[in-house]
Amino acid sequence: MTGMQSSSLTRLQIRGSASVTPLIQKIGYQYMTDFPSIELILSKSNSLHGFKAIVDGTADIGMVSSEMPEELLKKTQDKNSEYKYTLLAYDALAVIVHSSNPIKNLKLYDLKRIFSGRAKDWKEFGWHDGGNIELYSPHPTDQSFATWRRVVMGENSYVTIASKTLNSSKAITQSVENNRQSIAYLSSIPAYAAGSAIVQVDGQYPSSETISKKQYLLSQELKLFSKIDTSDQVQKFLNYCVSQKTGQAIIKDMGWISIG
Amino acid sequence: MNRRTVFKGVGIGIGVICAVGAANFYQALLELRRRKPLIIGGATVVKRLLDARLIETFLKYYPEADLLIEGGYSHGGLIALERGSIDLAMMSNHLVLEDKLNFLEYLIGIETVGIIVNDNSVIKNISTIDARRVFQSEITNWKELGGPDAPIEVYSRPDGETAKTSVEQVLLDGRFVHEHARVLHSNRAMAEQVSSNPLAIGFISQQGYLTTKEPTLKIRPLSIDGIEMDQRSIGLGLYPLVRQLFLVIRDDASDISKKFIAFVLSDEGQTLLADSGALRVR
Repeated sequence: MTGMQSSSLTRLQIRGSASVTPLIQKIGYQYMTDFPSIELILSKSNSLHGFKAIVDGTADIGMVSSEMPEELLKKTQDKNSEYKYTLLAYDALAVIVHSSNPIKNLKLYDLKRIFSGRAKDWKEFGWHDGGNIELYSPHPTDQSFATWRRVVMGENSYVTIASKTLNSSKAITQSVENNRQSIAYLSSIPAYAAGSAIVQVDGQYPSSETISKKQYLLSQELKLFSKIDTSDQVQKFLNYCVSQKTGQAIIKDMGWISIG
Repeated sequence: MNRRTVFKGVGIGIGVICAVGAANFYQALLELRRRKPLIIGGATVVKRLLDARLIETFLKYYPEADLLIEGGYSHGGLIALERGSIDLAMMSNHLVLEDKLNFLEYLIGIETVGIIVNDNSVIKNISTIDARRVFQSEITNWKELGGPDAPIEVYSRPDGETAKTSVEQVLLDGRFVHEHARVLHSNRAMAEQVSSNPLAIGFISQQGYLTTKEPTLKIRPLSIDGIEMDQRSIGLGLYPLVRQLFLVIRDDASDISKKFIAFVLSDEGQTLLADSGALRVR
């Protein structure tokens, strides 16, 4: 707890996506250990804030796990060449069911029908004594929710209000394991970590190969967003994140999908 | 003296009074027209921090600011900002509302609280769940935390004190520290009690910890969920008892609002906030 009030430190503010946050927390902790004159200050929210903080100049690095939203793109269109992305890692949404559920594969279209509430019974998918389908969904402020809405639900379809909203990955994996009729989606990392029963989407499991080659449909890129002419200190941290020896080694260690 | 002179005198008197009054009034009117309204509302925790020293100093530099500040909740502040009834919203922790593209959010400081025990205690770490139960008197013996078979003596601070508010809002999810806890009235008293009592547990703001940290005081912050209270874990938001404090303006904010933000983020502003108990972010 010493030296904290010293103003001789360089402070870099990082803001944005909750999906990227655990990676930057881990890499950032090591970075501050290696470079004690740097203080990283991270605020977790969502991708939009990650983009906006850089456009507004209210933070130094944005964490983003989606494309720049349309409305922000319009606002910045004359200066989009001033910004750059640094690819950090890949993530994917996994679709999970109870371990006794015999269904191993669902199409993207099936998922849309299930989560919009149009398909209500497991027998539609060949599980005759499956009963009603029960849905769990991450909180609407969670990045997974936004990705799911964009990739699975599309423009005019919404996740039904019959789906129960849960606040953490742990709550989702546990609720699914306690309910044989249930289905849910969440980031693939905690889904694998919890040993959940993962369903194929259009014939593909989320794996490092299918995700980085974009064969798995529910993939997303985890990126850092910054100004092109950013400070040397910011650039040094970005380099650290993508270096195989430092940031990428940490990402592999955590079981995430690195870029190299 | 005849009546006429008396009347004359009264007339002159009234005339003078009127003239002075009009001049004063005109002066006041000019003053009013020159003053720039700056209305700030939202999270009380941010208000308390700004109130301590910063606002006074800001007004010395910008006497034209007609500043009004009112505490309450982050959410209310943001709604008032959106409606245009205030110029600046104070926000504690990053609220993710419906995304407001016209809001600019500035992180201005970090507030953090340590749970402290006596230096001789065998306890080094506590889970958030156990900490919650200790401060609500559901765990009352050190044995339950892996310590000796002895009662836990819980120390607290008065209602409204920043560290206590943090403990109640961040750790206890809005519930209160149990009434059996002994209330101490300063950081100093908290540090001294915990230092002299091996069965004590209490809490102290980061700033309080730093200002009372002397070799004679035997206090130590516990790690929480295995996370040490240090610069790295606080900055990255890994340490659980942390609140990030923001000021929010609209993109059409007045000049004086922007000047206020610039002052808060300046070296002087950050030093004043740090003196009042926040950690610097710039």
